[in-house]
Amino acid sequence: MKLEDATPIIQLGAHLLVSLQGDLDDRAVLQLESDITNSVAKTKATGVLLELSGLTIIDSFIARVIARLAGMIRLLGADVVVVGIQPAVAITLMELGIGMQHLHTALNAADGMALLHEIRE
Amino acid sequence: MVLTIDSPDTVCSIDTEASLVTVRSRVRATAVDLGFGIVEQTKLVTAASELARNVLRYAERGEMIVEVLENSDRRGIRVTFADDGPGIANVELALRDGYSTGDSLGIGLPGAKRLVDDLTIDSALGRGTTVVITTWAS
Amino acid sequence: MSQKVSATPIAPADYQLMIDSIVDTEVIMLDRDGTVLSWNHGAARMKGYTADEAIGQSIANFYQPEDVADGLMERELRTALESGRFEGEGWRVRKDGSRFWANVSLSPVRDASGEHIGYVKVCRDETERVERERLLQRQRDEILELSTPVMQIWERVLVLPIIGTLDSVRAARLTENLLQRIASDQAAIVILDISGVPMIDTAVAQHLFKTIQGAQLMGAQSIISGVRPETAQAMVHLGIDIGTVKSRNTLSDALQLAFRMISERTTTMPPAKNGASSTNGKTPAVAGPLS
Repeated sequence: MKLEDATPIIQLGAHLLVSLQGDLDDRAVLQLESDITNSVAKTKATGVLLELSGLTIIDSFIARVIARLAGMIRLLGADVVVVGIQPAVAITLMELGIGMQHLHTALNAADGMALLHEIRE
Repeated sequence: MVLTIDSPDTVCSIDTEASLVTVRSRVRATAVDLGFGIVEQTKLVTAASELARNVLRYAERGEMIVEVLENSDRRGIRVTFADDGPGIANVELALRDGYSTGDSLGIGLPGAKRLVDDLTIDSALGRGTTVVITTWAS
Repeated sequence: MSQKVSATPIAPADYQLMIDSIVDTEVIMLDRDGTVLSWNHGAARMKGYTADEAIGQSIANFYQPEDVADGLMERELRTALESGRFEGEGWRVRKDGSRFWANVSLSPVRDASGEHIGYVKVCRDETERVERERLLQRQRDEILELSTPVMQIWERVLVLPIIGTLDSVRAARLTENLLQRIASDQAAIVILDISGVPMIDTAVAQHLFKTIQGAQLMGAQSIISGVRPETAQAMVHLGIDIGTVKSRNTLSDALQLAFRMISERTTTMPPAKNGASSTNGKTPAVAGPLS
């Protein structure tokens, strides 16, 4: 897989910022799962921000990908906050019946960071 | 009275994951041309994405047709997903609202139905499936 | 009718005069194949062709090219013949190429021996009516917009007073508006005031929860305010569980809670570790996928 296709993972202190974008096919998802779980383990991150503002469409497949990623990250002992869901996407997710109630959410990365700190308290 | 205009180049085959990208961009482009707002676009493209995935998952290959519809006071989009797959045994059950079942999203038909103005299914075991969604610009 | 007035029946020659005097409706005669046999003032005004230009033409010339290709004219004539009448609406084209929305009726004409010899076509231009309906709808939409204002009370807190009944169209518009405001105003808390909603039934409750869900997806917390005793009873009877959503009796109570929540958020942020600040976006330590 080409380096430029890889989803960027950025380390911010004890946290990781993962920015999902583009059209994720099955192979990209597997790569992403591997990259993220390895990053969390390697950096001993205590929190991960899943940044979704680059996703213009979240269908049930992508929603499942996000939920599974969150599950893997939590199993590794890190907290997860989902940030940046676009209004149009939020409305669509509601109609699809996907609430993501079990996930922490925040408006943007800054709020997400604050929330990660709050959760850890 | 509804008039259908078939624009060229709006038939696309669904046979690989890459087809899903084409499905989404074609439907998006047509919606943008008709002046759909961002929310309407997102709902329609998401519904198309769900239905195209169903074709891949259950029938392995199929076809999508995008048509522009015209009425006296508004225009709309009709997208048809057709496959020769195994078909749906109980269409009524498939359409029943599974909203309360949470994460078990099944084949996403009730959800897709909520995203568009109209969704109809023609399917039976062994006969393949045709799903037609229609949304009008507001 | 109080008394019958004796009068001479109208002479055949006067029929044409009568039909010609109709200026706002097209009343024309066609042969079996849809060729124009007669024309009237209404037709001339509507379509732009004089009688000389129109008679002998096929009415196919008045349809849009796509409709002609689609065989629409033949279908309409056949329906008229088989069912005794056709009535429908659709786009038609004038001589200058412009189009209008027409209401058309076709009736078959038979001679004394019952043989089908043609059709009578009556056509009205309904474009004005359609325009009026569209304007009315736009006005209705505007009224809807005005009656559900989203207000930013102070930084990061939005209040949405819901007044009146909530049908699904209105609820959808409310929710879309609110979520877009959450994004544009960077709202952290949304107060949904339902004191103006006369009746809470399952449908309204569902709309409310969808809205709350949508707000939550975008990281905003919701507070419901204005729950009256009757509403509380109704909600419990309906089995509605608001779960973790906070509720307050009055809007001012809800605002106080919102203020407290906002203050708590800004004071619990500790200084970041490892020298990288979490709130002012300084350069990160490591970039790129780590594997």
